[in-house]
Amino acid sequence: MTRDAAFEATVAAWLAAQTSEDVPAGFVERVVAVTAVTRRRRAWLPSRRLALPRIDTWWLTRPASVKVAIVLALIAASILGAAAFLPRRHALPGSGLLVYDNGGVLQTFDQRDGAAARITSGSFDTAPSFSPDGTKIAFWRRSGPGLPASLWVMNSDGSNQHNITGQADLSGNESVRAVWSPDSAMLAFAVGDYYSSSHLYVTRADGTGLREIGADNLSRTDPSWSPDGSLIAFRGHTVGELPDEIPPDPAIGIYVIAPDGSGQRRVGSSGAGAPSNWGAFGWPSVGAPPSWLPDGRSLLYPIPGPKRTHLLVIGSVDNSSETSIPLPPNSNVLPVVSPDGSRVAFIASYDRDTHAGTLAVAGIDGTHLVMLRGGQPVAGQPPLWSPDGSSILAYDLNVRSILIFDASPGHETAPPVVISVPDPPDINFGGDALYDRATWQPRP
Amino acid sequence: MLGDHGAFSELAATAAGRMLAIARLMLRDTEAAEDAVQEALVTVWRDLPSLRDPERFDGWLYRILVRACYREGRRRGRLGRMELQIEPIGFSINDESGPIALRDQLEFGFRRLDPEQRAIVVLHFYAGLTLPEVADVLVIPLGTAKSRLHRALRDMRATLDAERRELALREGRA
Repeated sequence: MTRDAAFEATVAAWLAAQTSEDVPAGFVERVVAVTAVTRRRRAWLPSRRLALPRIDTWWLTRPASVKVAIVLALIAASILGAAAFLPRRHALPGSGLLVYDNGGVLQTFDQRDGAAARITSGSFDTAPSFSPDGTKIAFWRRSGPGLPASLWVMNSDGSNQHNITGQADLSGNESVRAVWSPDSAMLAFAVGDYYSSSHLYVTRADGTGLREIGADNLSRTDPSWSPDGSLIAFRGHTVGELPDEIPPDPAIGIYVIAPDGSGQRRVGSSGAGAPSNWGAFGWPSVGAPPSWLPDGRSLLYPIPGPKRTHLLVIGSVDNSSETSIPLPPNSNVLPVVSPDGSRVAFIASYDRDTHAGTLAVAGIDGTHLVMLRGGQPVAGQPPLWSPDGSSILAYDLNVRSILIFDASPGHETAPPVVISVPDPPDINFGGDALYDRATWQPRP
Repeated sequence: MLGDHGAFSELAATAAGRMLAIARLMLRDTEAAEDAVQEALVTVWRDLPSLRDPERFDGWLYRILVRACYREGRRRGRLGRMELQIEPIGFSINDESGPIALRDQLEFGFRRLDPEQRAIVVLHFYAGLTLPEVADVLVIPLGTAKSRLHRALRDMRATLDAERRELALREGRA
């Protein structure tokens, strides 16, 4: 027996000796009593099976020589067609640096010359976030496995790394990036259990003024600063409730709050009273910050639609309107507005079980819908627009490849640039939580 | 499919023992384990009609249980982290896991694992799930499951090795 196998056998024997399968008297009866007052979900009804296509007898009755000729003709046509329409590989836009988590080490990728450089030396750094002025990067760091996470800030070249949250234990959401205020002076981030009890914090970028905002019984995730910096939008639900609880948690929805914690109010009708908010807002890994339109008066977010579809809607912050973007019925989630506000990138055909969908881009009015990557699946992560709006960053299914798509009109079918990134060691990102691995440097 | 409380009672009676054993291992606290299993079973009752593929019931059940353990651990601990109470459960002096010192070291090493690592160790070595099954339960890629298990075992063994080195050092001084 090898040393590894012997140790594994020791662990297995130790585990078996540490527990028992005894059930305390009355335990099952207590559970059954609770279920007597627990409403059940509706049964899932399988969709009608599609009929198999009928095999055409014409093909079977043709002579072999005709069949061979047809097959050869089809192959030739395919080759010629492919050559004629072979998409060009996407050339990365020259908008500066891409910073990404390369196995727990933050690394820059210069899009102009393809040069890569490490800018941190720790092994537990992730979720980088560029400041809007392009000079600073915030990121989460653990000093070792199992140790608390803290928020750090450094210059874009990796110099001047410093902890801005001190010894406070801010573990729990460190796979989700902190977001900068538009003036690059403050940061907002969520801490805690992403799914049941998350708290919203703000701090100045110099490390002063760390405080939690919002004191009611609301779990807050996915903050997003308004363009003028006066409001922070976030997703909320009742503390302790999972966002997919049935019946729906009436508090689930989109909210805005001032950075000083005042003036919290709800935006739109998102989720409230919906017959099923199944997977609409964040369970699991369908969460994304509400996306501000450039005018700062409206937000883009998904709401449950009929038959397990999700609609993308634009709701005004003053609650005067909530309008859905006219798109084909689908499970459309994780919408993000382009920097100029003219387009929206989102994950279409989102599958809750696989956390995957198709990266799609459309005009903000629903026109010119295009599925990128030929409809091949990508991870259920919010897409990330490059600052100049020419590219969209997404992730492969296991979030171990960064995919950069050409989003310029007419070029959306080009193959993406692929950057492979190993998992960081010992980063606790909860199995199925969001995992922000990259950030673009805004143009100076 | 279970359609009434009688059938659910049978299922709960059948599954509760193993679920409690797993929860006790993950949470290292009897009361917390019972709360987590109760929450998990209520979720099972509530969501069972929406389970699309009955053949995936076992994995689905483990997934619900593990998540209930995560939540219970967080509820009882600080934000996002399980705080552990050292409480050996069903501990036997004559078990097959080795001498008392080794067991203490294993306990110490296991307590240092984060909840996700602990879930993998328990599901793989106690519940007997294969790594692809563990990956399915935890909804993570197989490669991630492998690397997490590797790191968990590495960390546990590192704890043991450190304890042994310290012991050897003490004995040398004596």
